[in-house]
Amino acid sequence: MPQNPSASTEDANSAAAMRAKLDPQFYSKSQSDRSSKHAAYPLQTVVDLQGLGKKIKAKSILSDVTLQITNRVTGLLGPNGAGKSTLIKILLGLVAATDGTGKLLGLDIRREKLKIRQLVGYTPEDDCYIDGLTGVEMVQMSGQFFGLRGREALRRAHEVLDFCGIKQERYREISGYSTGMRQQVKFASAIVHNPQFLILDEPTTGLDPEERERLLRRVRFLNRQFGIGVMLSTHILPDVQLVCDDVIVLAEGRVRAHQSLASLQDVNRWRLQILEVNSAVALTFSQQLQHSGLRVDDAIDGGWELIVLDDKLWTKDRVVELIWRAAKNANATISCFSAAQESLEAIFLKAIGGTNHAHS
Amino acid sequence: MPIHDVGYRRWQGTQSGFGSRWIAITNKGFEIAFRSQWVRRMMFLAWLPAVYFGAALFFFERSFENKQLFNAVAELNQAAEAAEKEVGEFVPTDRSRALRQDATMRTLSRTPLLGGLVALLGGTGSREVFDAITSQDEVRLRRVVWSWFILKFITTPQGFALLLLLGWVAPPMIAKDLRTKAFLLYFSRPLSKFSYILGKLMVLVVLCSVITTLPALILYGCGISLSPNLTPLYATWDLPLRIFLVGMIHSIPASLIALMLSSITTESRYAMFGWYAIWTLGFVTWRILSTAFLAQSQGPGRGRPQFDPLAPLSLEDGGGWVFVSLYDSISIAQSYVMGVVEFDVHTQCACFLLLLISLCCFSIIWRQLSRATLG
Repeated sequence: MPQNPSASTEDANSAAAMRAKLDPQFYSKSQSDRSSKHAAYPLQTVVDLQGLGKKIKAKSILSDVTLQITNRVTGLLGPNGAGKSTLIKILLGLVAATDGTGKLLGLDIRREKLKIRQLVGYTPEDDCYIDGLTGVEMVQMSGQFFGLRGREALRRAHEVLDFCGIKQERYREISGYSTGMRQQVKFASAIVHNPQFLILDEPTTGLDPEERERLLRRVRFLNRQFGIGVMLSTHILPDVQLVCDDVIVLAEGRVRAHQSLASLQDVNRWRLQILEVNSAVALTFSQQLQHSGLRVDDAIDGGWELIVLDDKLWTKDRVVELIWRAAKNANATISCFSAAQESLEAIFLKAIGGTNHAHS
Repeated sequence: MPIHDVGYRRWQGTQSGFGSRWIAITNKGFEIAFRSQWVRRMMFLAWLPAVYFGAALFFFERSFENKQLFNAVAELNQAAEAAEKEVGEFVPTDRSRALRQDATMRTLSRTPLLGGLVALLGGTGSREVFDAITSQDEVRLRRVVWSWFILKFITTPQGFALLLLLGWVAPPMIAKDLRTKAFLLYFSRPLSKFSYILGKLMVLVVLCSVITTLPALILYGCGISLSPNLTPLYATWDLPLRIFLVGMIHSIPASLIALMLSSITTESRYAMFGWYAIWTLGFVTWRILSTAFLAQSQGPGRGRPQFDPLAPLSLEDGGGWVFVSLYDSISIAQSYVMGVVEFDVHTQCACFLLLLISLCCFSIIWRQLSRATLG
């Protein structure tokens, strides 16, 4: 019996839609996809810190940290000793702040520690595990700490381990796991209770590239599909670029930058490739551009790099218009020009006071 | 690619309260402890003395039933009194009492197991049993014998088994968590430090109870159920509660000491060494000291001094040194709770010492955990 082609297409579409909803592997990692997926979950402030400070024996670890973190994926960047771990411990109530106030999911971080921990999932940076337990037992026990009862905790443990891609290894003792496997189990332990906010401290340490990408996909999936806010503390900048919406840069206990990744990487640089072989025309074109207020540098690839000297005065459209006009006036032929995004590394170094303005 | 994969789903079940989260630690601690074959063997062997004490109680009740014991002692007393009357004032009272006690013990030794067991009770215990027999008060005798038997059962074979068991199970409990940084996983969950300590402590307390309180309660239950009438129940109705308290007096301070040792190192073998050192050194030191003090107080030419841990020397005679031995301090407190010794200065000191040790150990564990979390 011949099948109705339209019906089968509909079935296929609905199946694909279902899979896209259920399977993180299906989920696109494109930046443009992020905003559309966010539509299901309205933006909410999850963490609200006001003038938070921590001093240990007169040494200031954190000072005047004022932040609002939303339920998007937020990267927490900073050099060693910047205060990232202290900030996380303060949020979890493991360390008491000496100054300021703060709320996490509307709960006071000083007084409602247990309630906060009940709603938050946390994977510590350290290679930590409970000795003597198998993978599934550790996740089950974690579930029991979150209030899941025995058998229900075990059922849920299997569910999240399936989600994290841990198969038969779950029945082996964790002490025999590789670092990467322990990271996966820690992640599973953190999400076993359906947290509203995830704090991941260096979650990709020890993972091979494939596992790393899978973990980051899961993080993004949880954020996009379930609206779970994520705070990702990491040294690995590509991880931040891959998964984060917002970035916080901490240095010397202070917030040096807190913006969306897109706005941080907002253009003030342009990359220009010209076809012009006549050096006189090229020189005229360059002079035209410089006269308009752009600095022209030679790029590594043989083209030019234009730097907008006063980026507050120049909008993207104006720069584009200016380049076209200068090319027309100089009679130059442009093969390609694009906005050159500033690399996260450069942003990071600039924020922490470094001098390296590397860019891609 | 899986054909069907539900992926991640929300969990919306009923949560247990914050106050009961420590139970997960206790359950898992038990599971881990019982995975060790040595622990299982120790648990099995620890129950064997109960058979001996059970048999002794059975024979005591049988001799009680046919008045064999009372008749024998009554005859003995009559003979002794007649002899004393003949000799008149030349035999001192305490000397005649000692002679009579020796004779009673010899009579008891004809009863299977019972005599040996009464002799095992030591000086104070034997005297108490002797007094109860000579008073011909059935209720009192039953109470004294049952209390002493069960106390001896808990303090001597079970006390030793408990020492071995805790020395094997407890040292890795916190030390391993410190080594593997597991406290970050514990305390980032809605689990307080108190719950963590309680969870770990309960593993040890329950293990201790399984080899002390539980067999003692079963011993008591068997004794009552095998009795021909309800008279033993009337005489000993409060013993189950006392057994429970005696078990707690031993297991709580001992478990806290074991956990404290485990919390100050990441190497469990050091904690194990410290554990055995504390008990052995204290025990040996007090026995050497007490023998020396007794020999000094009794003077030369009186023979070998008789050591009685439950009748410690007076404080002036060096009796205060009993508290260097944790085992003897616990025994003194247990004897008071069991109702076999008075609440004297030694008992007060023993109770205070155990309380102090428990509080110190708890605060050290707390501090170590706080430091580990901050690190």
